[in-house]
Amino acid sequence: MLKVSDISAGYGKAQILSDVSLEVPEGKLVVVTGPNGHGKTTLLRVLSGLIQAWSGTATFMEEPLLGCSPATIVARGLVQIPQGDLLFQDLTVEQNLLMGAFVKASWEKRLQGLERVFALFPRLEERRGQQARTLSGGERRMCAIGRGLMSETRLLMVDEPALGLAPVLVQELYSTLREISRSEATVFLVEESFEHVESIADYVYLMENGRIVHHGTVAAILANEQLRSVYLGA
Amino acid sequence: MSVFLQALVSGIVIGAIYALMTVGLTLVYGSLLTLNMAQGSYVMIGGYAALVLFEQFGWSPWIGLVFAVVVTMVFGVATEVIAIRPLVGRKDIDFTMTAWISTLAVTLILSALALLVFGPESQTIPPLVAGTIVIGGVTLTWQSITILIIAFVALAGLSRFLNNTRHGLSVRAVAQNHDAARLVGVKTKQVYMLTMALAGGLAGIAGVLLAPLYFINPVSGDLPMLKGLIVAVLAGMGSIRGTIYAAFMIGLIESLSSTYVGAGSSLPIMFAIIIGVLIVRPNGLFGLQQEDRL
Amino acid sequence: MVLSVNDAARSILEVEHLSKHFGALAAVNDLSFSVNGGETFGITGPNGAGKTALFDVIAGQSRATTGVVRLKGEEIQRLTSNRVCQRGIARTFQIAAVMPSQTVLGTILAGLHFGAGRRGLAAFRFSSQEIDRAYELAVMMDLESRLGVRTELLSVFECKRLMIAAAFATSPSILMLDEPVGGLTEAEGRQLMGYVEQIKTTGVTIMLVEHVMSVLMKISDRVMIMNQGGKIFEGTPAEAIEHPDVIRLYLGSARVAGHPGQGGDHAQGL
Repeated sequence: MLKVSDISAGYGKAQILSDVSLEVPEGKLVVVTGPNGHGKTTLLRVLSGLIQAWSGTATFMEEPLLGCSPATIVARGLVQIPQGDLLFQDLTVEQNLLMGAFVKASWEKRLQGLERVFALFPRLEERRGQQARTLSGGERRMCAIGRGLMSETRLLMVDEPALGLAPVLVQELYSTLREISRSEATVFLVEESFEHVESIADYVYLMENGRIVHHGTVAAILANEQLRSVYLGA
Repeated sequence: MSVFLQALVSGIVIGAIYALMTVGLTLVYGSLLTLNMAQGSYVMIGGYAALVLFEQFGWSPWIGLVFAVVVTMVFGVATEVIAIRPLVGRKDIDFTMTAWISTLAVTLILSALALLVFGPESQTIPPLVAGTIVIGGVTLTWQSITILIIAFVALAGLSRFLNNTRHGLSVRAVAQNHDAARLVGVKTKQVYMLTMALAGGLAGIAGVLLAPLYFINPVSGDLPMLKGLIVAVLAGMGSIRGTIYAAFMIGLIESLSSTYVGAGSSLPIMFAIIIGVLIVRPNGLFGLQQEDRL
Repeated sequence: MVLSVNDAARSILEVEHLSKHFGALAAVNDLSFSVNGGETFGITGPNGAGKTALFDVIAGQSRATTGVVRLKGEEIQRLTSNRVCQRGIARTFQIAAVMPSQTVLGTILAGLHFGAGRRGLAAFRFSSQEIDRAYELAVMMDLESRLGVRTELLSVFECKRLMIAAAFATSPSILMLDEPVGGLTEAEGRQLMGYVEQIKTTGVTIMLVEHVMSVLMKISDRVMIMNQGGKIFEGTPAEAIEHPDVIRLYLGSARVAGHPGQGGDHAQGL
């Protein structure tokens, strides 16, 4: 569904990503993990069209991805749920969700979208008229994910969903993400802590200093002594 | 007592006009993060647009009003495309300052053009509705009542647009979180144009409403711009509702100080109040924090 | 920040007979210790042990009553905090101390620009290299999506990351972190220390004050345990948890599992 080949990118002359390649097959839950601050967010920003790659190619559903505008990318079904939620603070929960369906084709089906999201996150329905700034951390995360599901999302890229959440909520969150990956959309996850995703990932890419240093299934990674101590010793 | 009521009514009416002018400033500041110094020009252009229709064709100012809105919307969009958009996203400049200067240049150019095309004389158009009516010892012109109604309809319409429509919500979204808006598929360029069109149109309405009172000339946008800045500073940027409240406050201060203190006193008094407010609340009375565009 | 071969072998900071009195109270009492170049030096102790007072004196926020602080051989105890920063010590604070109306990018640039001691005309412009470097530092702390945001709008966690980014931007010889995980949830604290580990790999000397034992023991190469203004221990974390005085005065009966990854716990202070 998503194929990334040798992408390099950065800001000004500062290089952040070097020759990053990966693949997200439809229906598989793929995770990019590795220490924070190594450019995983930059990768997602490139894929969402917010910044330009310096070199490399990427295709989404066989069509070229790089160079498209963020609006086009969303319309094609590649949606990012950014780190830190980035909710519209003064808009209500419902208005935030509706904005998720902004793309013309999705706007017409926005009421069904709302129903779907409320079914997944009943708490959001209770708070639908509240301003986003009044929500708790867990509710904000739900709202951000819900917003990402409002359009005809084919691939959902989620950036550090566990960041700042209490451990008990993290569990719930990941089972919800797994559910989503089974029924709603393919999920591509960025997660700093391997532990969180061990049980749900179908395939894992390890990123360090802006490069993919290893990849494999969870079992393969766990079987590798060296990788275990580096990523799981932590 | 009737003197007081008269001043009160005047204040509310002028406040309504200021609200129309200044809401545009807040909208533009929210989305584009720049103070649009050309806002006053749109007031002037609105007046001239209605004037042209009236003089050339003898059409009523009501038609002039509609025409003025269309014309000022176009000028608003043109300002964005010509003076602001080329500056967006450039890392080597301070966007806020440069865009401010750029729109200031636009205002000077528009005034100069108006001078060339229309000449320096002050002109006027008839009020939308003529005549007066006396209620409870206070003389009201029908024009004042019309101004209040039009302002109310325009601002209510704006509120409905911003809260209940797809494009209106996108304007609010871009103002609140630029990146998140892009990530849900909002085309920020379109939002910029839409926001400037709204700002222009509202100012154009104000221009037509002001014209019978304050005349139309190439610099008739300057004083409204100044008043608009005063309102904006008092309100703080970011809150549309706050801007409207502040606009009425300034209108009342202006009216009451002219009536009770003296004709030239309103400006110094307003500035004194502004200084006081800013010392206590540097973000303005209703200011909300903003993100910077880089 | 770039470590010379000599630094590593030698003390980069020497504190000798340092005392800081507030009237009759000795917050720091005749304290002597040294920090080696490139190591991570942890300082802990119960509340009131003098940890923050010590930091304040070293970083120049307050003046020592008596004693000497030597940075790379030069005495700095009489210098004001900005001069201390220019000599190479950058310090973060327990409660987020950032400029509220400045943006994230601006804050990091300020650290880069002024930390490098730009003078004259060069002080008026940010060069494009500085801007690029600021972006790099922002990415390093995962703040790249918050660059234009005013710091008053940041969460506590983001603020802490920003403080560290700005301090690190000054290219310090010693990075001093005051209670880095204070005010953060456990998950956030763990993640923050992850960022600190990344910074550690650049070779910069780090001194940190932290009363969460597991955090301190895991990241420090050597630790100093303070009590009532004085030092009761200076050595490796492994030695610390076995040391009788430390156990008696600080750890109490709760033992700390000193090794990384096995989860430590808060020690009981007195």
